Amino acid sequence: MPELPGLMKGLGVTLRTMLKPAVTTQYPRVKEAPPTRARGVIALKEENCTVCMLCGRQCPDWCIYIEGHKTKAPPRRPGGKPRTVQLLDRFDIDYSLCMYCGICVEVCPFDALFWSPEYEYSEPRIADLLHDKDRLGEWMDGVPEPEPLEAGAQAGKR
Amino acid sequence: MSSVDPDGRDEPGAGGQAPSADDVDDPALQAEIANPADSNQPTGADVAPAEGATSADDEPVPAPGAPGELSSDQTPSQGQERGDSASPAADDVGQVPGGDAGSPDTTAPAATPPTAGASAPGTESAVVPEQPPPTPTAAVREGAAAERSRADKAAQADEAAEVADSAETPEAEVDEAAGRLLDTLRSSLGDDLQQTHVAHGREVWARVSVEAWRRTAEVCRDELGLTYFCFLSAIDWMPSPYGRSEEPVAGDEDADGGQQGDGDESPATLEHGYAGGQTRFQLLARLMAPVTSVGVILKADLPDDDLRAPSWAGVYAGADWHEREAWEMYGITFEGHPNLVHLYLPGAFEGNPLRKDFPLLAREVKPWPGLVDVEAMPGEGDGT
Amino acid sequence: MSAVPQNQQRAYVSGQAADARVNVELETDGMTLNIGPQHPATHGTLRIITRLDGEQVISAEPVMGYMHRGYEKLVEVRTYPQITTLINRIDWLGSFANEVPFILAAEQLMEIEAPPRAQWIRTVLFEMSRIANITLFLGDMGVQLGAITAVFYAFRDREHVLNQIEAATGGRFHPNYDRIGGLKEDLPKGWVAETKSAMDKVRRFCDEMETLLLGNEIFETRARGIGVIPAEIALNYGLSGANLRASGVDWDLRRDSPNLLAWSEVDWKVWTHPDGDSFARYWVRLQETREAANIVDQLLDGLPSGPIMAKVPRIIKVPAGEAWVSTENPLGEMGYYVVSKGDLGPFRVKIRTPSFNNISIVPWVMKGVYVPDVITILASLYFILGDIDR
Repeated sequence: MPELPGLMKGLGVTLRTMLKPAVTTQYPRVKEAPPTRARGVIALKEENCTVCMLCGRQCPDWCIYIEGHKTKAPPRRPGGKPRTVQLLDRFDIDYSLCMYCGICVEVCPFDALFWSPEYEYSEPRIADLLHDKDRLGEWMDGVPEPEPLEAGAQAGKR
Repeated sequence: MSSVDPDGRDEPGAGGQAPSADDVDDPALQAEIANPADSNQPTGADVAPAEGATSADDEPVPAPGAPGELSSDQTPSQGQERGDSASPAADDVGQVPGGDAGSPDTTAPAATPPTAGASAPGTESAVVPEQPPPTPTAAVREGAAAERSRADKAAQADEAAEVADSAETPEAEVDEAAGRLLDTLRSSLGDDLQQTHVAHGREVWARVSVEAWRRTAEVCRDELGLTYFCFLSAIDWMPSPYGRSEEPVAGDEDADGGQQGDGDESPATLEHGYAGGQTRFQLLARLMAPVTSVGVILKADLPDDDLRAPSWAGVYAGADWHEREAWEMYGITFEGHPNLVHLYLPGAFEGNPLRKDFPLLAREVKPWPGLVDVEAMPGEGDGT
Repeated sequence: MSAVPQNQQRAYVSGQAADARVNVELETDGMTLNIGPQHPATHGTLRIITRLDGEQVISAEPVMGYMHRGYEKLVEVRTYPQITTLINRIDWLGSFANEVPFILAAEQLMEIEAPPRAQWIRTVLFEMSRIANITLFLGDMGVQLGAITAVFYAFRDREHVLNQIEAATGGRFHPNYDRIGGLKEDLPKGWVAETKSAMDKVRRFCDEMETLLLGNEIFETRARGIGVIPAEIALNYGLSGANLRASGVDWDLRRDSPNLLAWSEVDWKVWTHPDGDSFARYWVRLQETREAANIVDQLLDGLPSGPIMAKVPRIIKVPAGEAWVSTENPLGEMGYYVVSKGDLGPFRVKIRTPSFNNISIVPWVMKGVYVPDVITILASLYFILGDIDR
């Protein structure tokens, strides 16, 4: 076996690799930018929610807790009858149970739930992973616009 | 070959489109031509075996991409043809599935599409009813029925062609194999083959008596060449006393199964699937032939008071662990198994988790959040 | 039967014989060696109780259930759309591939067919999950044999594929992207081009592995002739996928199962190897990864346009019936036996996972091998714990 050429070749590879930049990201200092669709955290647009409970019922993990009450709202047009609306009292998502499947976002008929690619919300205490509706509302800032689709796609569905 | 093709063609009245098939010598081509022609008859599956029929089918592998082609099946007619022409054996092959259902008449009307219980969607009616195991006579009767219905069918054939085409997706060449498979099972197992069903023209279900469970495996491996062991498990047909734990549409408290674990339902409410059945527990297994991907799904009724079955471990080594799993999940004892101990569950585990009356605690301790007025969860009411 | 070169077989056997003699002289005692459940070679928590005679394994008995999640029970209380999210987690490295057979089974019962574009995208993602899964094996096998570089390369290049999966589906590991009747949403703009460049990287990675490991003398000596599984035995145990093809059985459900997705639309090849040893299993998987990259490229070139969702009722109820659909997943044949009674969810689902059968051959194949080879064989059989335990 010609050992020396082999050794030189190996060292050559080492040298080349040494000069290449690292592929890893130095996380806490350098943030990774997830793709638009990334399922990071669920954001709640409270004013759209009609307390229909669909998300809670469709959740495979039963990790969404919703409570609401009926109330009268002023009529849309002057002179109309006051409307009955459901007001949201409680909307909690328990992220320690959530599987990030996105079914709740998909089934929401009123566009009250969105995915945000935000991912930095780990907690030292597991109980803190229960996000209430205010916390969920804050995530709305990070919700990206829906991105354009690839050529050949049929427009329409979001 | 030639003997078969003509039959196929005559019958369904497919003749119109078919003539060319005759002229072609190459079996592959012939098959191709023939298929679309016959497509009105879904069943083909049962039919199959038969003389030369196969050669054509063995060869051509239709481009799966083309749905049109796929959906065509051939042969249905052949089955019947052969049936009337006579050998009872031949025709019971054809007819078993639907036939034993014993309601040939119900089947027949539905005949437009499938007949002999061969093909998927239409067949339900034929199969679902609980019937005594098919006896040869039943089969013969069925044969006759099929014959009778043939006339109507011929009449409807033309429309049927389109309907069936879109409705079913049996494959010609696998049909053939499926039929051959049924044929062998029938001749080797005799009365121990209790009921069969064919869906999509190629998936074969066969229910055998539990005494013949091991022999079935041997027949499958040695005579049918189903050397590949796919899986073995069981089904508990008892409706779950706990419901589905949620009922998204009608979410009232009844729907949330938690409260209503009121116990055993009478076995009278059992509804079995393909190939029927009489008992709460059924063995379920699948064997396959490598390369051709022909397979059979086997079932066997287990008497409620005696959950024992012969082990397959000596026939298919792979069955070893599957039987251990079925043992711990359903409590079925496999006789002759070398080492029937827990596989997944800890040794001291009590109960058989996959039985329907085993509660899924995760769904019992917590109320379904879809309920409108939920009491606070333990430890959660304070908002943590 | 396998065709390990005669000379190697002889060398292996005579080596064993020589050792057996030594053992007799030394009068070694039997010993029980417990491997795992936290051993890196077990990809999770598989425990193997081996009984040794000196350096030789007399018997090996896998113990599992450390990760048994009872999916077959869990799916009985879930609706069809909810189930895909669960079964993602069976084989977590190639999770999209887990969804496909289940969805196909449900579609078969509902007699729905997804539009062509959806079928093609499914196939693309299926192959990408194959790559994501197997690249890890390609690197990991190196680690098990003492070559640590390979696994870093594997993780590096797998990342490109995972990024693409995430860009399309929103989930790196658990896409939950397949729906009854089609897909969740269409691909984002620019995805096709990026995926193609990722496929180039995958091919380069395969070349790299080929020179780095396959051409490596140590790797070869440690893998060749180790853990030979003859074809009949493999079939009898229900081995599937690359493990079976490495034993010379030319069987791939992508090609041999009729009418599944879009594989028949492209030009590709099923790789087999006659030897049936650990080296063959590695070799076959390496070729398959390359082939998968080619399949993805070809499919992306011919991606049909159109809708990605068939007409499906808003509330999905699957008509009563039974269906069995299996596909050639990264680890082997994965199938779902779905029994429906016309409800929102299935009555019973039997999940046939490839690793379960693949690993059931361990007691057979481990008999008489040496302790270091245990790891080689385990690594080359390649299993995912979630796929065994379900």
